[in-house]
Amino acid sequence: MCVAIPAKVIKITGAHAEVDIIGNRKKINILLIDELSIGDKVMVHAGFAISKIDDEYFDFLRNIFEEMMVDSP
Amino acid sequence: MKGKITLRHGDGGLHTNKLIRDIFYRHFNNEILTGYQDAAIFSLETGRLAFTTDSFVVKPIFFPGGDIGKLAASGTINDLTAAGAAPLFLSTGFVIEEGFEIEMLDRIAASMGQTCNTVGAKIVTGDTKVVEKGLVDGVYINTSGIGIVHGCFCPRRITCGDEIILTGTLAEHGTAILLERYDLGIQSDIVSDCKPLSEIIPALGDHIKYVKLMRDPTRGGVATALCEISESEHIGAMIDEEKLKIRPAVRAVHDLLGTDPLYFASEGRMILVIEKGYGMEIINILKKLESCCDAEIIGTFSKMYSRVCLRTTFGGERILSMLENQTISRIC
Amino acid sequence: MTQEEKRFIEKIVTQINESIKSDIRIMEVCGTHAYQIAMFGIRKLLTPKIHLVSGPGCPVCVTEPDYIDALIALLRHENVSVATFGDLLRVRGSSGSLEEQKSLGRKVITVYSPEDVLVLAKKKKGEYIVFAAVGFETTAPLYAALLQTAQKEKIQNLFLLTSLKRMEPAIRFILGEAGVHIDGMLCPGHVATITGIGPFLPVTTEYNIPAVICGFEAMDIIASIGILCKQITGEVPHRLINTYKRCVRDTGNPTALCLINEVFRISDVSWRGIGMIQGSALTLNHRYEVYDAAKRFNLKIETTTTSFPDGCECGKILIGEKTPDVCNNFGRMCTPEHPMGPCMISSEGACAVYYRFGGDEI
Repeated sequence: MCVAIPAKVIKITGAHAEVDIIGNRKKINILLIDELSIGDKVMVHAGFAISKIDDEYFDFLRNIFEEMMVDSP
Repeated sequence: MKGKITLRHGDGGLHTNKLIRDIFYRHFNNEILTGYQDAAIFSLETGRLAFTTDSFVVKPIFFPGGDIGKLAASGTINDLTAAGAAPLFLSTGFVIEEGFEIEMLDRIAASMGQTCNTVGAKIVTGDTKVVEKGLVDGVYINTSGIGIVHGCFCPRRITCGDEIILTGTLAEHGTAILLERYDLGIQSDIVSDCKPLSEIIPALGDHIKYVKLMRDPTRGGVATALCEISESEHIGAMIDEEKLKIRPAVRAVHDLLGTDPLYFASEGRMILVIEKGYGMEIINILKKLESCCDAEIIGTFSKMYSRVCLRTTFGGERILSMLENQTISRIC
Repeated sequence: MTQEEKRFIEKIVTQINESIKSDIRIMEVCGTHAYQIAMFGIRKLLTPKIHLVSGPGCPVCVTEPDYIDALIALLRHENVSVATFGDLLRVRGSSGSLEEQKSLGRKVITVYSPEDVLVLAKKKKGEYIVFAAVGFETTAPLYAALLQTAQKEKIQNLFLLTSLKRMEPAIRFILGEAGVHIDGMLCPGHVATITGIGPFLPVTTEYNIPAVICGFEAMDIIASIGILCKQITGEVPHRLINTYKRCVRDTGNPTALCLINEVFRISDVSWRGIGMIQGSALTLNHRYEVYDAAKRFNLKIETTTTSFPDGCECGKILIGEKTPDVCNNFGRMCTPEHPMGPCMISSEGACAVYYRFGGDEI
């Protein structure tokens, strides 16, 4: 229901930030994010950052699975 | 020439003549055109001819990577190319809105002339009309073209196993226009791929006999072109997503807007359907051309499928269907 | 996608297909999940025993026709423009769609962000701008931020006509009242990004159904289906797992939640094809009701019982009871070009997705 895309913060000016989306630049609203720094990755929905993005997800997903393998009888 | 186009530029009198001489003759410069006849007179070697026409109403008129003039010339040249023909002679008709900048018209005619020059085609006849403000949006251009079909080219029915080649990255024209046309607030380096492709025909030479069909994936993009071929030939196809080359920035724009690049136009790419087993040979020829250096076999036609299907990067499968409306600005 | 990632996906898919011996139903609540699953061709990878069904998570599909009618009524005012996201343009009320109105020359403006609406309101000072505020919790804080800014900047010609919905009551309705049987649920990652995991905990704690909060990449979806299958087969206990931790914190986005509470209140709303769901709407609270277009322009959005065209199964499809292909209209009378039911109109509607990408039959 909610299309969103990752972007990287390259400039911050007040309530807005300029982000890089794989070579494209766009101004977005960052009112919904506390403590944003240049270089942070954010998820952008309809021109607003809705959350920061943490780490590379592949390792995380793999870890969940590996834990489950240990869990399972 | 400076100033603006007025209705007088279209009245057939002095101003019209000056406009034609200073802009069109100058940029389209060739002996057939400048002969002042109402119709171009030329002779052709014998053989099969290809004849095509198209009108161009692109907005914006100037876009990254080209303008309506380059587009109008390339479009008709590529339609001839798709018919296996080397482009020879083009005609053009301009419908210009009163008040249009003459300097812009000059730039448009210059890029048309240049585009034709690079492929050895000539604009041999033309027409200019000026209409009252508001009746057209800037300038509309029609181009028709005539070319001689390569002796070995014979379009044939597509059969199971025939290979599908796309000559490069996709959706760049459509995406560049999308970014310009709508105020999306995206700054991007994406440029239109608009260019003439007629070098394909001489490069293929006799190998063109293995080409069963060519189609330039303009409006509706690669997906629509493939669906149309599949429907008219009554055969399905499997396309390999991994082989479809999309520049990351183009992909990102579509991810952002929730649109599908497979449905966005290219203006400098060709789809070639190659007789089973000859795909690689053709690829090796095409890859040497500047305009086709990213050519890939993107899939094959197959009786196993009734429609055009796509094998996704990690082995999933889905249908590529005809799509009428693309919703841009999706939140969901 | 790297080779390593591909191998990981392959491994999970093999595990899934080996472990599932009898038919199971997994519901994706979110329209974007439905779209992505089809777009990635995931059905084809999985054993046909796994049935992926859609829930009511496409806000456009569940918007009542009365709401569209109200927007169209607004357009009759000389100095009103309606701003909308593209999704809503083709949705039909009882008297046509916004797209049709636009072609008739009425002032319908497509926007890409609530920010655009602010710019529009400043530019068109003598006019009223009504923003069609649809969506779930993901989009709600954006509207809230817009109004807060409007208030700060004393912009007085901007209004919202809200049709904002909450996910949790809808999920409870499906699993409780409607008694829809599912074996696992893919929970919407971007709603959870705002709300946190709270609204999805009851799926496992109260209804004892395996649930995963899931992102939108192919790997997110496949890994999450893999985890659901492990829970369904009893390999691991039923509990809510968050595979979208890179965006979803347990407590969500507190700033966004604060904004939602500041601007909206919870009320009841009717969902197209489903009916009234208590507490499932977000509407402007007393502090912000001056921005309520319904109040300003005295609109009555009556929630009549939705009637569907003959044979339309959207009501059942929206709650995952049926799949689009069993509907007699699907692909015959009802296509994306000539949609009859709401699920065919939105590009993320279950029927439109099925039509475009193929369902199980490819």
